[in-house]
Amino acid sequence: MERKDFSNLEITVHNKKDLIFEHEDYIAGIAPNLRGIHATMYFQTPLETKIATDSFSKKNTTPEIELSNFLIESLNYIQKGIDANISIDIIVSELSFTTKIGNNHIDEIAKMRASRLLWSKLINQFNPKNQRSFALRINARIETCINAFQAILGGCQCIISKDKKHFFFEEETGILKTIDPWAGATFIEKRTEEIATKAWMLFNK
Amino acid sequence: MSNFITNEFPASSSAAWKQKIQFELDGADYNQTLLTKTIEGITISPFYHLDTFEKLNIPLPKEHCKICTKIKVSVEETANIEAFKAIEQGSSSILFEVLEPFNSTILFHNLLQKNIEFHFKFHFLDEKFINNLILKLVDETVYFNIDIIGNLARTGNWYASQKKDFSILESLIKKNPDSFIISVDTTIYQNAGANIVQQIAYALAHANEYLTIFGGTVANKIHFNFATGTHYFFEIAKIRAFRYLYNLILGKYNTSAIAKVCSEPSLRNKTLYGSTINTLRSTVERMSAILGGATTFVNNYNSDIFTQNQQPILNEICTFRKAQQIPTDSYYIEYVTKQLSEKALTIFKDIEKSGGFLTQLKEGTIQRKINENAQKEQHQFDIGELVLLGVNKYPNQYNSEEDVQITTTLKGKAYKTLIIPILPKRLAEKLEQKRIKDGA
Repeated sequence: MERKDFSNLEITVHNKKDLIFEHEDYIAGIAPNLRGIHATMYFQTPLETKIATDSFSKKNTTPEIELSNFLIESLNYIQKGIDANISIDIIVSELSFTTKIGNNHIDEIAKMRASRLLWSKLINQFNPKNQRSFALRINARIETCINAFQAILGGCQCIISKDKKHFFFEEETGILKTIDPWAGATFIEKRTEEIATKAWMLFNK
Repeated sequence: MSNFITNEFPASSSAAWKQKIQFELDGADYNQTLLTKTIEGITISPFYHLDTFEKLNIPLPKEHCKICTKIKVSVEETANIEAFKAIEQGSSSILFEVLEPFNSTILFHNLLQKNIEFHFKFHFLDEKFINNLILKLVDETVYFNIDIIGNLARTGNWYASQKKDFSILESLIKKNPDSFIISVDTTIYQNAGANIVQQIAYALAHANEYLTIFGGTVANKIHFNFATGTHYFFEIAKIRAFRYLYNLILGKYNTSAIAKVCSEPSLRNKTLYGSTINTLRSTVERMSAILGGATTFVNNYNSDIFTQNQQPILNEICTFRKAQQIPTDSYYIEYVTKQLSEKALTIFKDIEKSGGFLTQLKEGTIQRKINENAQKEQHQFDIGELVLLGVNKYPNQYNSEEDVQITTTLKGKAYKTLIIPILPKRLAEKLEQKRIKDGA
C-alpha cells in the first residue's frame, strides 16, 4: 500500500468540560481554600514529615462522619474559648486536622479538599480578622507508605509516618510540581461536593 | 445540588490566584520559583484553573484493566504451576515469555476456559508452531505479540530477513484474521531512555509501518505494549495522548480503533539494592497505567511480602469503576495530554516525511534521538536534578535486599547486527557498579 500523507493532520482542541461544579473556580490561598491553604503550596511551604512514635487509634469511619465529628469537636473548642473571651483568631491558631489516611485513593483526596472548605464555612460564622484563620492545616497519619500518595495529592501540610519511604513520592513522581493536580476531574469534584454536603448536613443535625 | 457550598464566599479566578502567588512570593521570581520544565520541553505551571481549560476528546476503552503476571517458560510444568499461583493471587491474565517452541498441552493443562487472558512474548518466529498454538487456544482471548520491527529495533536483526519476516507475518494475519497477531512493542524506547513525547511518536510511527503494509483492517488487531515510568501525571497522559493520536492517524485509513494497550513497569528507574522502593515505583506505575486507560498491566511473577501488602490498595484502584474515566476533565491531565499530543504529532509527521520509522531505524536516526535524550536524562541524574532514592539521594538509607528482577548490566555474547540495536539502560547502573567496585 502507498504511504499516506499525514502532513495536514491537526489535533482538535475543545474548551468545554462535560460537567462544571459550582465550587470549581475556588483557588488555593483564599477562603474557602478548597485547593490548598497557600497560593504557592509546597513551593514556598515545603511538606513536613514527622516520624510517628505512638500509635494512632482513630476508628475507621466514612469521610463524611469523620469530617462532621471534626467540625463538632472544633466548634466545642471554639465555643469554650469564646466563653472565656479569647478572640477567634487566637483560638483557631491552635487547631489543625489530624486524619488517618486510608486506602480509598479518590475518597481521601476528596476528603481533604472538602475539609478545608467546610472549615472555612465554620470559621466564617465567627467573623475572624485574620485571613489565616480560614486556612485548615492537615496532618496526615499514614500506616503504609502508599497512603502518603493520596495525602500529598489532597494537599496535606504534614505526613506522620513510621518510616521515610514516602519520600519517594516527593522525589520521584513529580506530583508536587503543580497545586491540587486532580482539580477539575469530574470524579474528584463530584466526590468533594458529596462529602462536603453530607458532612455539613450531619454536623448541622 | 444546593449552593450551600458557594453561598458564603465569592467566586474566584486564575487572575486572583496569580495575584495571591505574587504576594506570597514576596519578590521571588515567578518563573524561576514555580515553573517546571520537563525533558519533553513541556512547562508545568504551579496551578491550572477552569479559566484556561482545554482538552482533546479521548477514545477510551470500556473494559477494566486486567492484571497480568509475567512468567518465563523454561520447564512447562513449572510455568503451569506458577500460572495457577498467579491466578490464585488475583491475576486475570498471564504473559508467557518463551525462548523456544514448547509443549502447549503441558503448559496449558487445566488453564483453559477459565476466562483468563493470555499473552506471549516469543524470542523466535516459527509460523507452524504459532499456527498450531492458535488452534489450541481458539476459544481463548490471546495476544500473540509478534513484532518483527520491534525485534529488529531490540536485537539489531530480523528473525530471518525482512522479506521472510514480513511474509510469515502476512501469512499468519491472513490465516487468522480475528486473532491479535501483531504487537507494537514500545517498551524498549522507554527503557532505553526516550522521553514521553518520543515514545508516543515512535509508537505511532512503528504502528504505521504495519498499517502501510497490511492496511487499515489490522488497526484494531494491533496490541500495543508500553513501559510506564514514575512521572505520574505525564504517564497517565501518555496513554491518553497515544489513544487520541492513534485514532487521528487511523482517520487517514478511514477507520478507528480503541487500541488494546498493555503496560509494564519501566526498567529504567529501577535500582539494584532497592527492592522495597522498586515495588513502590511499580505500584505508582501500575496506578498511572490503569488511570491512563491501559487494558492490561503486567507484573513480574513475584511472591515477596511487600508486594502482597500493596495488593489491597491496588485492588481498590483496579476495581474502581471506570478507572480510565477518572482523569477526564482534570485541568492538569488534560493540559499535559494536549501538550504531549501536539509535540508527538510533530515528530510523527517528521518521521513519515523522511520515509517512515523503518527507514529512520535503518539510518540510525531513531537510535541517535533516543540516545540524545537518554544522555540528557543521565546528566540530570548525575547532577541530582533527577532523583532515585537510595542511589543518588540518601544512598545508605533505603538499602534493602538485592532485587533479583533487575539485571545489573546486559551482558551477552557479541553478535553481528544489521542495524544498531536499541538497548535498555538503567539510570542507576553507573553508580551501582561503582558501589560494587568500592565494596569489593
